[in-house]
Amino acid sequence: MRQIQSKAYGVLNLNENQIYEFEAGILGVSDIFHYALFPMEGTPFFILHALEEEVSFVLLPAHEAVLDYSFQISDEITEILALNSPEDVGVMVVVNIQQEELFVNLMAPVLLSPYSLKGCQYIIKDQELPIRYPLKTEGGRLNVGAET
Amino acid sequence: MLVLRRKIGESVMIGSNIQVQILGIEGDQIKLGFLAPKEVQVLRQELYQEIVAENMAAKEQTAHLQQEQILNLLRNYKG
Repeated sequence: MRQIQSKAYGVLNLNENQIYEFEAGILGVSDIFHYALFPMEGTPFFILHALEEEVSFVLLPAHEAVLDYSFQISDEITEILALNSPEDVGVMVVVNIQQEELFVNLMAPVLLSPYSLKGCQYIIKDQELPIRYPLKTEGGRLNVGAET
Repeated sequence: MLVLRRKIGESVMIGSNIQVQILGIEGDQIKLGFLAPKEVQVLRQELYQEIVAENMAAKEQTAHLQQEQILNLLRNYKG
């Protein structure tokens, strides 16, 4: 059992199978390659916390955020994440809290493979999707329906 | 900045494994082709900057908000 002492979230206990390798880092923090994923109790959200630094992101499984969210994963990503099939991948969106409102980045989801424990931030290039998309806090999900 | 003159169909190598080819020119637009290792992301600069900025904003939120505030906001979300 390892621990992260997080200023933002306190002491986080983790097992090895919660540690994901981000070979290419995350855009803007390209020098951090290892993150641990924690479910936030009582919520559908997760925290992706760097192992060694005070860097973290709030993630939400994409299906909790929007309906009909789909995109093509390139062969390179399949290779980087060591996926056997596209179903092996978890798709999460990065949550951004601004003025107490929740937004998600639909253009650059975080892909995680619980089998290979590899992750990456994938930039969707074949569709124009919002980078700051408001999450509805009441009344359910919106349908972005942007399949091409 | 290094400036090179190239013709359509010609390429430039960046290091030994990134190749950029001039595919065509239409008016004021140039079509480029990229061959790069899988871990190298090739992105339009505007998109790259927007995503970096959004990631930074998402990363900084823990500096502006108390843990309780974040947790409360997230607990109130009903997907």
